[in-house]
Amino acid sequence: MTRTGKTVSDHPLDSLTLKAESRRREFLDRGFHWFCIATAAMSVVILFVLLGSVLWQGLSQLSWNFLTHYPEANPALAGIGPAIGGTICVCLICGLLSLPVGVATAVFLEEFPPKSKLGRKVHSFIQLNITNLAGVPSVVYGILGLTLFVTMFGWFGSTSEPALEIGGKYYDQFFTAGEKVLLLPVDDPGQPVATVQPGMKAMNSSGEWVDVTVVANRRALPSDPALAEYALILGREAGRIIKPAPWYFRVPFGRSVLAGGLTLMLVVLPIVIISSQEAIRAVPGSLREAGLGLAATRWQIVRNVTLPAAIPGIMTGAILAMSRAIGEAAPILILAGAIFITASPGNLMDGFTVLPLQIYDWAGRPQHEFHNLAAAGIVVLLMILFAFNLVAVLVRQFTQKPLS
Amino acid sequence: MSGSTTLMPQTGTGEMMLNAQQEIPKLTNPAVDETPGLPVVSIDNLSAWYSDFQALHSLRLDIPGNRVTALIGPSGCGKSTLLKWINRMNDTIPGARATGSLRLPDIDILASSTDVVALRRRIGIVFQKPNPFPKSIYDNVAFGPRLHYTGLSRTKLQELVEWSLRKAALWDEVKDRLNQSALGLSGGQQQRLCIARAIAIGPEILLMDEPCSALDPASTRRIEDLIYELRQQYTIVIVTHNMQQASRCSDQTAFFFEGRLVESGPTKELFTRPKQKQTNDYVTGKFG
Repeated sequence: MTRTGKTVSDHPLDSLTLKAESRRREFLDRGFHWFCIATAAMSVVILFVLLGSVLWQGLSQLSWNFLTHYPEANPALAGIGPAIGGTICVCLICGLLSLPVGVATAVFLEEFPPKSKLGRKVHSFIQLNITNLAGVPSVVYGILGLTLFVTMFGWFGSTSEPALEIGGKYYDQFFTAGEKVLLLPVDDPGQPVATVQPGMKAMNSSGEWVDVTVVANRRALPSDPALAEYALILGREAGRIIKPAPWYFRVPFGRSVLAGGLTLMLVVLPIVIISSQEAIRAVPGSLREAGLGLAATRWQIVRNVTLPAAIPGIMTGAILAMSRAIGEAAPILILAGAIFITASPGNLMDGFTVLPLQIYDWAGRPQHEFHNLAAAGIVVLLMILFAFNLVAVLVRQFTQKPLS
Repeated sequence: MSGSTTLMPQTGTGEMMLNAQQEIPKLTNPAVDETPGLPVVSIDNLSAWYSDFQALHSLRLDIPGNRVTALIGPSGCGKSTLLKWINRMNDTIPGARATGSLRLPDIDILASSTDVVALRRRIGIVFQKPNPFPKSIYDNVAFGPRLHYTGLSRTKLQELVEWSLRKAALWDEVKDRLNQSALGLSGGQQQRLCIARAIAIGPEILLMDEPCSALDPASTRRIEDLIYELRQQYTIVIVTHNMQQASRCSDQTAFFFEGRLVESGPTKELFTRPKQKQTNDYVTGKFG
């Protein structure tokens, strides 16, 4: 135990054995290294096994028909089209709303430090709430969305009698003996449903006004198909339908894509806010000072200094948030219900379904064919997820212009 | 101690006695007016606090126009506090407040009704560490003008950027790479860019908070020359830890100690014949 450079050492620990000379320490060091490698490898292996099994099961099912067709009962023909449309719509609404709202909240919390005592309390109250909200299970948001967006506490009527309605045209609809549809435009949705009257005219499916052959009863219906085409029985009641324009809007929102998107916004908002806050906090204070010194207003500093520097970080948070939103099944299940949807949403008020719900539905059926469809659905879900992420990465790259 | 001082700005051609680098000749510029400048910033009975800590005690000082005023003193003596009250940068610090009078000829700087943005447009600031925006050199200089002027044509802006960079003695070094990142410049170049950025919005007064403390001696020298040059057009207040720097590039010096103004006067006089013992001890390096 001689120490270099000293002939006589008086170091108090000279009598002890150095740990460097114990084999146990070396063994532990190596063991720890291998342990780390094993744990890292495990997660990767699990991921690959999952991806592999899903691809193995699902890839054979992927076809144009699968991507576009609606999920009918015959597994050979069933597709996932409406769920793809629903997922894209809901996620777009969620992303377009949660980003501005979340970033603005983060800017408020980070860039506008409170001056007064009350302001500080409000600030920390908001901060505490956001932190708490990030931990709330998403199914709770489903119930919140149901009362807040779907029924709106019943304050604005119901979806059949909405308080506000824009872009919807009502018709009374008859089915003729020749299995054709005849329509009567309804000027005032409050008026009673039309009945078949003698000498009436109605619109056919191509929008032309035609004379209706009105007969007294079922036995009087003409047997000649040409005559039966526009034949109706006197006194029959029509069914009231609505033809929504693409900009159709009503309050309350009902079980619509808009309500779904808004609910998912609530789910991801805390993630967006917290990650944006971190990104904004990472912008050096010296840059803000520089802006202040150049007589910039607070808005100008946020707009020209803070946000441009924080966008890469904000985008990373957005990727996380979208990945969360796209995979959420629970709030949508509560909000939209497991209903049979045959088309992608055509307007904000349309009913919808999303990929996780469709996958859940198929995976729960006993037939093996549906399990393969579920696997194919997962492949599609992952591909959409990657596409969303790619867009966010591109935005990040684009905004982070290389300046060197 | 903190008595009011009448200022007789130096001509700048004098040799500094205590200067270790006195072989470096000072810039002589015949265009510089040798008469005492009128006070541009008048400080009277100014006290400042950070929460409960009093950083400045009843300060009285006049800062003359078109002169370089150096604020010297050991760390924590309040010189930076004073500087940051002149353009109200302290507004952003929670708990910072000031009483007394701090005035430009036409405005009361401390009044709550004062438009801080308009004030800061007249009083530019250069910080201790160069802090260019992570943007191109051109965009850094154009940043301020873009904030403050509408209808700024491309040619007008180009003209202004060149003018500012020339004034900051940086044009020749960067004219071929205006669109490259400002972060690629050396520390000294970055600091001159910050000066160009500050003068691009046309301030009357330039505040400099230890502008050379993060720079090497050669860059320091260039900035000092620049400061001396800029006094023709701007009133400059510079905080420095470096006594040589104060003696090299300022006309008037104010010595602070523990939040009080100990002595102020023409730089040459303060460095060669200080009236206070404390000043003498500090400028000769006995403490601080």
